[in-house]
Amino acid sequence: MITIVGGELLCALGDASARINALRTGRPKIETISVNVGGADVTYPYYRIDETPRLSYPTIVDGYLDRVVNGLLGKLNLKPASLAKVGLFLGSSSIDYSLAWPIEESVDDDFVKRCKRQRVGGGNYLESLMQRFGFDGPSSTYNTACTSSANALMSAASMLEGAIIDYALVLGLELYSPTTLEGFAMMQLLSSEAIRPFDKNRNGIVLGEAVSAVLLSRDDIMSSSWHYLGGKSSCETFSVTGANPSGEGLAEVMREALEDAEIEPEVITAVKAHGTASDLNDQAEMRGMAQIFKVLPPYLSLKPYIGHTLGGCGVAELLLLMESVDAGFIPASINFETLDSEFSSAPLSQIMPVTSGHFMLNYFGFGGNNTSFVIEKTAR
Amino acid sequence: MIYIHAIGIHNTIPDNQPTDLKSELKALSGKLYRRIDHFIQLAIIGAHKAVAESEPASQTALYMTSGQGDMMVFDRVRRQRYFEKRLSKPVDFVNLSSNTAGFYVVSHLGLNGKNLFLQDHHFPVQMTMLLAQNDINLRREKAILVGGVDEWIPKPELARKLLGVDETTVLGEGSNWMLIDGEVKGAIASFAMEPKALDKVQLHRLLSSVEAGTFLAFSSRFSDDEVVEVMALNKSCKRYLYEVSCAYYETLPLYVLNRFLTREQGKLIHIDISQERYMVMSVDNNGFSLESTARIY
Repeated sequence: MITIVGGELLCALGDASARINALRTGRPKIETISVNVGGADVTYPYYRIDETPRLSYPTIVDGYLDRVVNGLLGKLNLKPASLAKVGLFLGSSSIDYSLAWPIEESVDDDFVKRCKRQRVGGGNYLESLMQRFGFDGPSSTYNTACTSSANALMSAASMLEGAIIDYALVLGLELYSPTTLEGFAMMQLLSSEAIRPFDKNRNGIVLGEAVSAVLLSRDDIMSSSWHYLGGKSSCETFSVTGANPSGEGLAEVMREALEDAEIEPEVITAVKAHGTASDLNDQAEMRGMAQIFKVLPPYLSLKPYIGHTLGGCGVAELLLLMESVDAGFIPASINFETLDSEFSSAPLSQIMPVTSGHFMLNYFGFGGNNTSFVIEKTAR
Repeated sequence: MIYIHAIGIHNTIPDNQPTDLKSELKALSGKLYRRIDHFIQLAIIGAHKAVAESEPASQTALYMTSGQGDMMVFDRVRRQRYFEKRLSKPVDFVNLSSNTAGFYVVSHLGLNGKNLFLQDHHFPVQMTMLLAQNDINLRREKAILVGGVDEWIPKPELARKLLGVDETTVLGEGSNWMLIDGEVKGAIASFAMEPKALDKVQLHRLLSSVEAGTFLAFSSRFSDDEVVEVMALNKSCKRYLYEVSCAYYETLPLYVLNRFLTREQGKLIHIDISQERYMVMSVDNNGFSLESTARIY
């Protein structure tokens, strides 16, 4: 059985105790950010980790990935011999950051002469971590848009199941990028107000940052009360930018995730929905869940706490859910006010006392990528 | 055991400007695609050559890898943002996520399985094949279409620096695909790879015991001296020379495997090196029927 051993997270909620406090009280910290769209400055809410400028590649590795990996390894006390058996899996929708660093600086013609001869590309982040920490297992960097780190985690579980590795370090990475912010603004997908997943008056996503790391293993190597039970990822070709509003594609991955986990829908304690607060995607997710669950289990979106962290949300939201359950509750799905007449039930309006159970986590993204997986926490 | 059921090769050496793929794609597929750029055209062409005729099962997964992804759209967005001071088109923004190429390939082929876009600093092809091999062995996927896609970048001096290759390296582009599954029936070859990177001692041990007549192919990262050293380990092996047929791109190992299967009979071991670690893949078409090879493009 695949164990989820521990994790480390940097997000807008602050350190571990501040995160639990915010999740318990329903009071996240939100800032604003301005972007020029069509000649006019527009201000949007935004969830930042901190104020550090972070477009340069060394800042990303030194300042953030190193911090989460150091923090996690510090908790787990893995020996050097074990580090050599760690496979690395990173998910990000911004894997071009390492490319952005030299190219975005190339605003003059002399750049080609100044540029060092060094390979860039999406694999660079993990390469740096391998050098610094002595990891020697296989590595892969995933870009499947908003499902990136969720898919990275599923592949990690598969490589553990196949005994290719004994440990898997799965990382989610999403930091401020002007190109990303402008792109979403240009496509009119951003909300200028609070993010309201599943609300009748939902009007778009709010972006955020998260850098996270979770260590998986097998129960014959390292035990844990948390287990990854199974999952499914597939691609539907309805639209490159959104799920089929019928919910069929999303229902399919949820159904197959339950089959892979070998559990029935009624066993699910709660669903961590993708819940972006975009009109059609929330509708598709509700329709998808309605096709799977006779009675909809409690469901919530964590995006009102840390924003939509795009490719990083797979691991970041997993860790937020685990931290909450470890603290004895599931957070409320905040900012919800009015039930959409098409939806059969509202998301969790209050925190729910929970210390163990089965949890479904959904992630959907650009490129038709739909991913759902199931985890459990056993009562000790 | 993993078996290869179809392969597709698209391999070119552009001369000063990117190859026009629009008309080639239309001729191949009979469809006129809009709002897709060079990288996506390249991906579709290679995948089409591999499997369009054989109509793969809809649940076939797609694992695509690339050294750098959609570089030209990235450069276009950068130019628009910093030089022209304007926002890029929505289609360019969406395609900045190189995984959209997989979306268009999946759409083109009528698939709805898993769609992954993967990269790795040292061994993009090998890491993708390792994951695919494991997922097939575990029966997590019934069949996987694995592709390596790299486009030629119209600024070769900058491109060489960003790829970390010397200034004399000729750059090419390619889109090379293979359909793999766990069924021997209908296969054109078997595939296997070492799951871990080897050190020099382990590589020498492996090569000293391979059967006579095995072909060895070396990635372009090998120096001439290193090739000589490895070839001397087992004098019954033959070197597979592919280098004159292609120029450098990062997913070249898939081209080498596929090219071998179209031209030779036997077993090929492909060896790649990075930072004194070796990754080894092999294909073997001994004993596979000629009838099956009709599915090779």
